[in-house]
Amino acid sequence: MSQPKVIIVSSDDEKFPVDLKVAEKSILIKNMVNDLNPDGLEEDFELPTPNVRSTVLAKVLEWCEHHKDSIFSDDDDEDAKKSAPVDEWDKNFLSVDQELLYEIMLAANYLNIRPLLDSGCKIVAEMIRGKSPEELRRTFNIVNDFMPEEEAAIRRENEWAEDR
Amino acid sequence: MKKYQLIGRRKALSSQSSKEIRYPAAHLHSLPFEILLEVLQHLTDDINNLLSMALVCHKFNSIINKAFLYNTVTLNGSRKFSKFAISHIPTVRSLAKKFSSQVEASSKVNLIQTLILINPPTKETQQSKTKIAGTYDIESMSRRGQDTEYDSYVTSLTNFCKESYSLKNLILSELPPQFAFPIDSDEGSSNSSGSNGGLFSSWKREKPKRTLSTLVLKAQSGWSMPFKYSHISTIISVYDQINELILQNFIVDEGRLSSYQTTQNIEIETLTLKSCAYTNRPTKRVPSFIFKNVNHLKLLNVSSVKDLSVIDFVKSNNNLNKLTIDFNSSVFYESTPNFERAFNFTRFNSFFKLLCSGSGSYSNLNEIELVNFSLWDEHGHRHNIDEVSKDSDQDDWVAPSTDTFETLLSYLSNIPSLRIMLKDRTMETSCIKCGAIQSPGILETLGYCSWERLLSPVIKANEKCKIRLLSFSGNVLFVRDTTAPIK
Repeated sequence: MSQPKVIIVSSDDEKFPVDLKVAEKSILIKNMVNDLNPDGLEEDFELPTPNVRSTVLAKVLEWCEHHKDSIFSDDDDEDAKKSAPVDEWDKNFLSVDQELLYEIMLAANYLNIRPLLDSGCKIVAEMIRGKSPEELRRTFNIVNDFMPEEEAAIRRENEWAEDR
Repeated sequence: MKKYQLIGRRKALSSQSSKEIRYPAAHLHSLPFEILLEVLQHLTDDINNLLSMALVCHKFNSIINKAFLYNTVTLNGSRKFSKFAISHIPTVRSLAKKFSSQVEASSKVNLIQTLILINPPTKETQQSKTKIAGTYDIESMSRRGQDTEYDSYVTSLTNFCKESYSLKNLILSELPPQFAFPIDSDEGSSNSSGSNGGLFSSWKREKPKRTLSTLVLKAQSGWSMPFKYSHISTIISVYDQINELILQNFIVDEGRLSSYQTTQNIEIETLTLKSCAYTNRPTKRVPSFIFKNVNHLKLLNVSSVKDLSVIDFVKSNNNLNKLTIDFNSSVFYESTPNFERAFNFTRFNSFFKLLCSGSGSYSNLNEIELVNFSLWDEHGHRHNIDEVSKDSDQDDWVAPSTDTFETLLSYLSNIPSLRIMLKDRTMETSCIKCGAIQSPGILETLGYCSWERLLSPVIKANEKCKIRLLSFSGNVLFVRDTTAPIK
């Protein structure tokens, strides 16, 4: 008999049956499965994710499938997590348009998949690095809501920090 | 009818309300605060990235200011400080302040929780001046320049402390040996000293009490300098209370500190002495005015037996009721023939017996906290050596030795409340007696029953002693909470 599956349902009602090992990459799903099935999963377990679109959920589950055997560093070790470079596969996997990238990050945050969220954050941080305010506005499509004198005042106020 | 106005600064009220811009849900601007913080956290290695991001829009400016740029401000040297002071700290405190926004402190001042000042300037004194033949004019000019720099540094720091209501920790690091604040610095500004108010004091509203959580003073590397009232005078003039004063690499000169008297009310609750020395015990002990309200003394990294006498000096204020001692301090250990260090029970068992006795001048001491405690590494297991032959030679009538770990624990039990915090172990340790290897963190995995057995000398010796055992990370490993009233 085949192993019971976890069926994750997207906000647009698409069903994604996955192995428990894959689904457990999400701490939210892992805890939910364990809490509701204390004796282990005996039959298929359906779980709705009303915040996640099918396109995004497919990508997230692709990541979970790829990393089902990966062991990630301890949650408490913030420094190690921060200094570790983004995995090459993750880098290619997250080379998507900004909208999808943010949706993946939001889904990872909701489903509590820390390593995926960390990779997303690092990718966005790399997009920010080394750019001028104007370049940043262009890259991220952000409107400048400062008055010219406000911007000048901020530059003046933050001058002390420039060469620290 | 009474009129009320929301408390706020003119600048805040006059700031241009930005046009409302709606961003789609899947947009950097719309990401939740905690995700944005995490993204920005990866940019802290280069401040320029954060400065650029702060200029993108109001939202990012606000996040970066609060969480990164102005949360902890580190200013190295007087030039850096004056650069900061120019745009953030008012230099003129007069009537002009009421009418001109130019002299008002910036709103960022109230975002700062920790201010770290490294290598502050000193006021050159005549004694410390070096004379160079034929250069009198140049020397006097440079001295004048230094004085101005020092004066403006002190004025700006005073004004900053007065204006910043968010400041919790003030750290003065790399203090040069000549460093001192002016002694007569604005003594009347503190609330407590405002009691001489005279005619107007009866109707003048009392200012809110100002409390600084932590004040840290660290002497310049390689120096140990005598602690003086002038090291804290300016800070004391602003704050009514300092929760913890931490001194690092200072000399506590009892003679000098006891001789100083001031009308200023100094409320320091906890005094932490890290790598500090004690000297100059006068023949007649007078409680120090500076330490008169200290009720908790922490001694960290003590290197000499003489330095432990600082306990007697501080407790002469009759307020000291808690003592924290760093058990990793070199003072407690002696070298073994194998060049390893062993706790000197012969010397320090009697010291802890007296400390915990509750008799005489130690009667106020209610709690002892031992941090970096590692004696169970050596004494928490049965040694793999045959000690029977040694013991069989001993006569029954000889009193058992008191120079043991068990005796130390039983002496410690005499204190009403005992708190032990284990030392952080990142490497394997080997027992100096039997060579047994202990892996890091093994003690933290022991259960309640195991700790009950290891702590049995304390538990059995005094059933009223409250015991709290914690791991290095603060996890509670064992608690015995008695209902016995604490003196």
